[in-house]
Amino acid sequence: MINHTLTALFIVTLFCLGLSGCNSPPQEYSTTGVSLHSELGGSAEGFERACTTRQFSFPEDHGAHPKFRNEWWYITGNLEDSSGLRFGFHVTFFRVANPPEKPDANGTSSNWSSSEFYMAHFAVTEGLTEENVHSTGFERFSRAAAGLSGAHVSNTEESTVKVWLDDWQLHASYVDDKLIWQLSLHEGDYSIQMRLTPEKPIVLQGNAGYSQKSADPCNASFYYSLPRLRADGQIKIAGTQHDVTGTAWLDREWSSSALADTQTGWDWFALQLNDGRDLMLYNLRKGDGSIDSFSYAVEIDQRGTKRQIPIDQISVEVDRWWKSDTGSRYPVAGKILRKDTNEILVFTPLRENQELDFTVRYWEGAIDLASTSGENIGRGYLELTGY
Amino acid sequence: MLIGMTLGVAIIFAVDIANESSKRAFSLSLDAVTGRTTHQIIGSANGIDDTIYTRLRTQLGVRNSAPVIQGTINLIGSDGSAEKQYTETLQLLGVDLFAEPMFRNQPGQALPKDDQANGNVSARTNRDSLKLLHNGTVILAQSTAERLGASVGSSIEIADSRFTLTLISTVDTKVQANFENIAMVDISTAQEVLGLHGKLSRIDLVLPLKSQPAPVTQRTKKIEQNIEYIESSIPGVQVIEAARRNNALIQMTEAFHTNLLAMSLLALLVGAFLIYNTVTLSVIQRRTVFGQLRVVGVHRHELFRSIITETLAFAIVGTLAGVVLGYILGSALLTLVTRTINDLYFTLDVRQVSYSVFTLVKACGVGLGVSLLAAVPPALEAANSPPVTVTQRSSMEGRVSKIVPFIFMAGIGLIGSGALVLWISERSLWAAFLAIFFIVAGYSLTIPKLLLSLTSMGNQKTWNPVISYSSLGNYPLRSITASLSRTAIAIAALVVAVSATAGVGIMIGSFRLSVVHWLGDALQSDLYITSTASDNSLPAILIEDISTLENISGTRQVRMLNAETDKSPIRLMAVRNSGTSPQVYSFKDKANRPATPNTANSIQSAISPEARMRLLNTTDSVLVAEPYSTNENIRVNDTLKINTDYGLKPFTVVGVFTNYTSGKGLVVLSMNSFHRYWSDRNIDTIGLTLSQEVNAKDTKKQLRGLLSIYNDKLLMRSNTEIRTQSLEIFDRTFAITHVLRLLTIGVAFIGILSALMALALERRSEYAVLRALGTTPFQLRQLLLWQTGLMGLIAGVLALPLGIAMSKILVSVINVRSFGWTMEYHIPPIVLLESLILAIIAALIAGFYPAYKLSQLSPAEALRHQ
Repeated sequence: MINHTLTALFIVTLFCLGLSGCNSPPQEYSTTGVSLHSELGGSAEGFERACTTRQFSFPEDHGAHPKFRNEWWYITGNLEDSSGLRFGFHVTFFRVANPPEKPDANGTSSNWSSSEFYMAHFAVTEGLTEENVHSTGFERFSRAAAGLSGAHVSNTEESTVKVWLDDWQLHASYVDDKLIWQLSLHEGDYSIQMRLTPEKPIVLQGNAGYSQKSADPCNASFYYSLPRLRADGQIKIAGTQHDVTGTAWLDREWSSSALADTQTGWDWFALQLNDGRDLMLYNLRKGDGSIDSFSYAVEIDQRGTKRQIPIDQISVEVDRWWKSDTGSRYPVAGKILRKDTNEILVFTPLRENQELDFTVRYWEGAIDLASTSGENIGRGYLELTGY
Repeated sequence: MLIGMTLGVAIIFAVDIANESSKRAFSLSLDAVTGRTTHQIIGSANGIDDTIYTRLRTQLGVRNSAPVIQGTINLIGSDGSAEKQYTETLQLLGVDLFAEPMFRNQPGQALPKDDQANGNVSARTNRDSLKLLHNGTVILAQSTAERLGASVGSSIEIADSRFTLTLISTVDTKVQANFENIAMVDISTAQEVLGLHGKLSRIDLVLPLKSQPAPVTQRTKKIEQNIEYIESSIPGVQVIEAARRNNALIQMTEAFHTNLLAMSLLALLVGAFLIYNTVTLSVIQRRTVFGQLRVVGVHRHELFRSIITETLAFAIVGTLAGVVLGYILGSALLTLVTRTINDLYFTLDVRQVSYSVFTLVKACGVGLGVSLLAAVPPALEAANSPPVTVTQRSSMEGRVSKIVPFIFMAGIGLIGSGALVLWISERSLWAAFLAIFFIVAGYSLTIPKLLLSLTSMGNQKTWNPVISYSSLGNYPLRSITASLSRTAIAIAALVVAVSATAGVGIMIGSFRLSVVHWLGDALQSDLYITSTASDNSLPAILIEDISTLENISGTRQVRMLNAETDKSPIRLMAVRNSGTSPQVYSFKDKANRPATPNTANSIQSAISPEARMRLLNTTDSVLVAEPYSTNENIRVNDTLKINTDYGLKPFTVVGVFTNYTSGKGLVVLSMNSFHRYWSDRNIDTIGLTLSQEVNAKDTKKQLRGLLSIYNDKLLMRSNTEIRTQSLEIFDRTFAITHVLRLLTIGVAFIGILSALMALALERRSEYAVLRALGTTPFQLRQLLLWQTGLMGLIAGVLALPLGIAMSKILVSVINVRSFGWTMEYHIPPIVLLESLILAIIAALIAGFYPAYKLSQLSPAEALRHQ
């Protein structure tokens, strides 16, 4: 899961780092810094909001929902080559819409004009190599116009679902009535070519896909997941190609409005256990460090049946903090304690440094799961934002 | 002394400043437009299809690419009264901000080294940049916005367009100087404003990828692979080196700047003369004092040292003042230079005066160096001579007259080497300027000798008509030669200044005459209708309507486009004549190679214009304007490959024609050929020839009615209007040369003045004797004025041969080498007369003050020391 905050954050910082004047002399711009929430507050205007449940329909809902402000296609996964070398990967396509324009006096007819743009992140983590090799990430932007980026669903074309930014692509096509996903990204000496075959049906998160984030019923998103995808393909790291297999997780979420004022960030776990169960948990953190009651946890059994875990039945205990060169401290290792099943899942990162120093800085990395006795019980991905 | 030095340094510095500032602005402007781009994808004349960019990104994965639309717009200032509009011409740069970071400096972004300096995120600017994605928004330089009276949020009208732009952000040019001349908009806005739907001007590339550091050879190979990959994947696409295109632009203005540089060399020469003269003067006028000092026991070394020290002190003050004055003068000149560049080449707006350390050092060096150089001989002389003779001027003149023949020989030698340089160098502009410099310097060295022979010519007989009016007989004349060391330098300075005036005057005169003739040839139609719409095309219906009009005996349809070739880019002009089509080209033929019999459309150089036009209309052939022919060395029977809508196609050159338009090379082809290779069917100008018998007024009225329905999008002009306008631009272009000429004369004037002052001071006792003998103050004044008048006359006469020689070099060497223009050579007698009068008047005016001073002389006082 990734939340509104991230979107908000990157809108705010996007045009600083990549595109504009971070370097302007400060005295010229006396405006006070941006408040995350005020930035988001007015912006939902003109967009549809997620205020109640809706009817999902596939494959149409795999495509873009332009009436909503933000949307993403979010894939994480753990991979392994035949020699046992471990890898993590993370690919995200974000769709961001600007507030709808006022009617343009000039009248627009250029097919380059667009109020939407896409941002994409692509990161890989290599497992057991030298200490100084850490995860590598790439970031791209493009306007959703002139065919440069977009997301659409079509039954006539080669692929049913197509999400792309330049030559970074996520496709899905039907093979024997089953939608098979295909990831294809290149950047310099890094690339990923991955076939993702769903092993469980789509899981609608929250209340039938309506995922409320705070007391305001419209502070919510539409959210579904493909919790377990079998991954096989190639991954190229620093020019070296590896044939790999593993498991991946696909999240889809769209919304128009933000977090509550009190929420500062979140910790998100997507875990695939060796016994076939999958677990997803996000803790929305409040300013005082406590966990918001709108946090959420769910267990999906071997057949794909979802069972929500009451948020007071599950908690996270941090064992180790890691401080990055950028100065942020992340809780990268710890324990997930379940009262409902009396389980303890010990999580450790594949490597500590899986921070992504993008327009929005966050920690997104592969983790290992072990029992208290140290036996490996699964793998997953952890996302830490707002640190 | 200070004034002379100050002026001398000032003129050198001023010209350099004007030159350098405009050059810097130009390169910044170029940098803003191309930035770090290494290669560009260009298409045919209409630009390239924007889907090529999409394919490049989504299919080929060429990430380091950015779409660019470039054009020129006029923004209308909202400030001030409605009837007095302020418009400013800017480069419209359409970009995709998402593709930009690695190409150009972003708005408000300083140099990369400052990247980490300020992490202070300002939301307002960030959100503002995001707004650029909205259609119709623009980012301008802060200074530009202020001039337009626009602030963030206000809308700015575009002249001759229905579009308005909203200013969303401004960029401080202190942070990012190259934003000065730019209006940055989104690609979508640019497409709409310029009417370029589905088109891009070009795609910028950075090859190879940044992440691939490799040895040079490997990189080159990688680049080649990249180009091959792109070109083979998208048919019809051409990847060229960005530097090549920029070079073409740089070369165009380079010629102009070289001309300015020549001006600054001239200024250097005149300025150096001036400084030399003033310093010598200041030392020599105190010979008596120095003599007395020696008498009372001052050692010669001490004397020498003190003279030099004093000169140096003066030189420093004078030079500093000169730099300040030069800066002020230079800023004023800059406006003129910029205007010329705008008229001739490129939309450029220079607001910032800049200069390099080098120019500063140069101006100061000349100021100090020449001062010292000038002070050393007289100081040495004063220090070394026996005290008695120091007080006598005649001893010095005696020595000067001895070296006159040697100086003369040196001068002849310099002129000779100048001529040699001119003869040997084939195309080098620099060599030509060097030659001019040699010739001018050499000529001025011959002046003392010429002066002597001129004044002694036929004894007094030749001069009788002139001096018979003088009450003192030939005294004024003889006294010029008597103090040769003084007068020769003053006269030389005046000669250089006046000859430059004459030379440049003759050149401009010849040029203007050629342009007038050419305009007469080229503007054969009576009326021209052009479009002011953004895409420049005339409505098709209008063309039909016009063709049905009576009273019109012939039409000439023209389509102008930019096109790339296998050589530098061209301005392509497709032409269709119907009805009576007058001959508009005057051909200048030079063939690189003779006609080969097996080439179907190869022609003999003596072919008639009619036959050429026939070839032009029936075969794949073009006419090439003379400057392009010269610059690219492409002649009749050569092949020029032009990038058409169907790729590069060869066209045979069947004629080289006179053309004085500047900028990109002009190439003419027939409308038939154009339609064969381009899909563009627009027409942007129609020329109409009216039947002889009809009333032109009625036809005009009829046409105006026809045009009125197009909402001022069309412009009708008569050929007289265009001619007047063209000549106006011509005159404006050369305004700067007039100013520089006047400046040079001004400096020479100061030179004469100081020389005369020196003379007057030195000869106080001589004049005192004259006064004592009964000469009235009036007669003395007259004497002085006669003397200066004669000096002026001599300078004027001596300046003419040099002026004519200079103009000849300017016309037939410099202009050809720098612009590729050949022109008729024509010496307007008026220019010669003007120069003569200018010389005499300058000298006379310079004589007034010394004459007045002398007439005030008290004979008793002046003679007391004898």
